[in-house]
Amino acid sequence: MRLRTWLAVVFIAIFGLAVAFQSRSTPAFAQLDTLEFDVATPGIEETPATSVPNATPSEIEAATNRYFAAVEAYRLEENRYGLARDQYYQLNTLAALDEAIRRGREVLRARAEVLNAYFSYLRLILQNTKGIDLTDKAAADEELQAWQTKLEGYVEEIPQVSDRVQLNTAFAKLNDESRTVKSTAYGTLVLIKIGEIQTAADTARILQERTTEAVKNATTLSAAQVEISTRGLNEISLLLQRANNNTFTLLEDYREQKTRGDFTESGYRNFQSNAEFSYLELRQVVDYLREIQKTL
Amino acid sequence: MTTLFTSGARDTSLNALLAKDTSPVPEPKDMPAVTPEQELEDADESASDKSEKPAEVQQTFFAEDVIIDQPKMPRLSGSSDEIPQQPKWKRYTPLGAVLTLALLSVLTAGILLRQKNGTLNNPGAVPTPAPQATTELSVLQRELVLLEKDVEAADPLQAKLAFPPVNFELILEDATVLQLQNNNRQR
Repeated sequence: MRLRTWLAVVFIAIFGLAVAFQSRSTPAFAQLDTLEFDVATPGIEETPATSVPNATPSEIEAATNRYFAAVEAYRLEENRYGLARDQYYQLNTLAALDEAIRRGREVLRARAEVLNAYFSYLRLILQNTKGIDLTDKAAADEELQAWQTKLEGYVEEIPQVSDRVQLNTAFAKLNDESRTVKSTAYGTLVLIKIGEIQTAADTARILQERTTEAVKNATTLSAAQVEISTRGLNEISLLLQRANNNTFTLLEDYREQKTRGDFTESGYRNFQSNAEFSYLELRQVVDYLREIQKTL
Repeated sequence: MTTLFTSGARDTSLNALLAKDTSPVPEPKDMPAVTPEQELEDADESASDKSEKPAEVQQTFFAEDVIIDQPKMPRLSGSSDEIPQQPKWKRYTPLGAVLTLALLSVLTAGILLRQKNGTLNNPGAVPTPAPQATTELSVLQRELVLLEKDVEAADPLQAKLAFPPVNFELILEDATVLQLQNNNRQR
């Protein structure tokens, strides 16, 4: 009886110890899972992070909504202004002039708000885009921010507009800078796209390296399959090299144009067609990697 | 043979042994007779010795007893009070302790081995090559999905919000001047 009691005590003690060990190891398990998840996308992490915290999806959504609302309001105000202006041109009365000036002030405010909302949106997207050189990113962000400040200054001056000349002066301030405003916007769009291409290329390179390791370690592959996979991986290396070279050229062009400050809509179209090459190479990389993974 | 036996020390000792072995064993009857007075004296001496060194005497007594009588019957020379029976818990305590230590050692060794293999933190995982390969492949597949998303985002035709359709040619002309121009054109 004593022996049985002893054995029972011993087993309870062992069971307790085992449970204690398991419960103690649970947080480490969770930590490992987290680490594994972090390691899963190291390519993205290679790009240095900006000092500005990343925008949350809700922030981007809010900025997008603000932009669309501003565009809608601007269209309405521009139509109203057009009607008031035409009426003034026909009637040439003081009342019509006053109404045209009043509508002119509203359209000025609405235009500034559209551009401000658009630049806010661009800044958030720029912050969230990885694969961009930090200097380029900071310069583009500063430029957008400077424009926002300038637009806010324009809006503050609107209440002082009381006659036709002042209204035209206020219109002209932004009209004369339209080229610079568009250059800032299109330049940012180009930079964002370059960053997205670079991010995809980095992710593809990391995945190619991991797939190479997986092929090396695969025990179920035949010699022929290993040879085919290796050949495919070499081809992927070439594709990535070409994509990176093209992206580098795009980046050089961007910097050159940035110095001149002449990004235009047609220039952006030209960039799109040039960037198509990198994109197609990356698409091919994805197809090859999918094929290789099927053999694993 | 005689020369050989007497020549070396070994032979001499062997002879001595042989001589010892061949010597007659004294029979009990050959022992010197003990008188009752001597018995009393011996008893007193043994009593006084017992008071001085009780353990040694007792041990000597038992040793003689065991040698002379049967060793597996300790109660033969006296009653059961002379050799106290050990309680069960005293007998099983060392056994239990040894068992506990052994089992704890096995458990610790097992835990250490599992830690070394890296499977402690993943109790469900069995460190065999096949599941590892499956996990690796699933990770690769997951990363491929992420890559596809990245590549789709890199599509140059998939632009972000386009530049807003704002008018940069807004102006409010003088209506009088416009009317004059219109009149001049009509003429």
